[in-house]
Amino acid sequence: MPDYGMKISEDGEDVGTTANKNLTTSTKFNQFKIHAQGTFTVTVLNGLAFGSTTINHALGYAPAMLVYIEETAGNGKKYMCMYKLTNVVDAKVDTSDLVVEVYYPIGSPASGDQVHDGYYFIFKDNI
Amino acid sequence: MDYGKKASQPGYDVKTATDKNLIFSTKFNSLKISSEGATTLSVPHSTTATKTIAHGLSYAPSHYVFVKELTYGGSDYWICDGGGAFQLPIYDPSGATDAGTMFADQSHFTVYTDATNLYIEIKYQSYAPPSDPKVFDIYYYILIEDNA
Repeated sequence: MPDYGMKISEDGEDVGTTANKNLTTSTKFNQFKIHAQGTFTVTVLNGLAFGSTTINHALGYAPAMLVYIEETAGNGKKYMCMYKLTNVVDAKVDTSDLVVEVYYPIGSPASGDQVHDGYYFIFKDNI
Repeated sequence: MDYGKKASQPGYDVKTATDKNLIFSTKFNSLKISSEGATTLSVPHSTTATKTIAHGLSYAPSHYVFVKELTYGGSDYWICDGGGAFQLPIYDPSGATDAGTMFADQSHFTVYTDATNLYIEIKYQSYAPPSDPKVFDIYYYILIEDNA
């Protein structure tokens, strides 16, 4: 444990004695740092059962990420990937890209273009 | 709270910026990492294996876990197409093309904690087993924040 740094406690907690989980910030611990974030859409075209969107991150290593997307296009309910209710929504990352995918059940292709709204975080932290 | 530190995003006055336009503020709790690391889990076909990692926190902590370089194709139906790393939990998306079996008997990847350990549980299932056992590469974060 380093004998230098900074820590801030939550309201009502003594910073000198409180448990680590009651600190709002401590330089003793690493924290997730956001590299990029933003909105995106995945479109499943009429008659198809799959769509995907690729977001380049340019980090050169696979980073931690967090992705939310509508499982049902246009209903405004965003689930954290991976998730399946009727459709499957998943997200995967490699050394160059974050890829978000939407699968519809076989035999139930998109009726008209279906646009799934989403939001992503890509972190500086590797996996 | 009338003490602490904060920094705003470029283009925002730190004194007037809304909270969401701050990049950092000690006013708010944050996810702090207790430990992290890479590990592997070897799983024979049609079985469930569990990786147990002691966290030393004495309460059930939050967690963030990825399984790396999964592939799909040929006789492998245990995860969706393409390589890359996926955040857990994962259920087999091949259920999308094989309705009804997704949660019943195919692969799953789950993770949970208790007051002692982080548990990563993988059930490995495919229709025609490739090399056996399968070794999964894993990267995990155990957070200081509890999940109770």
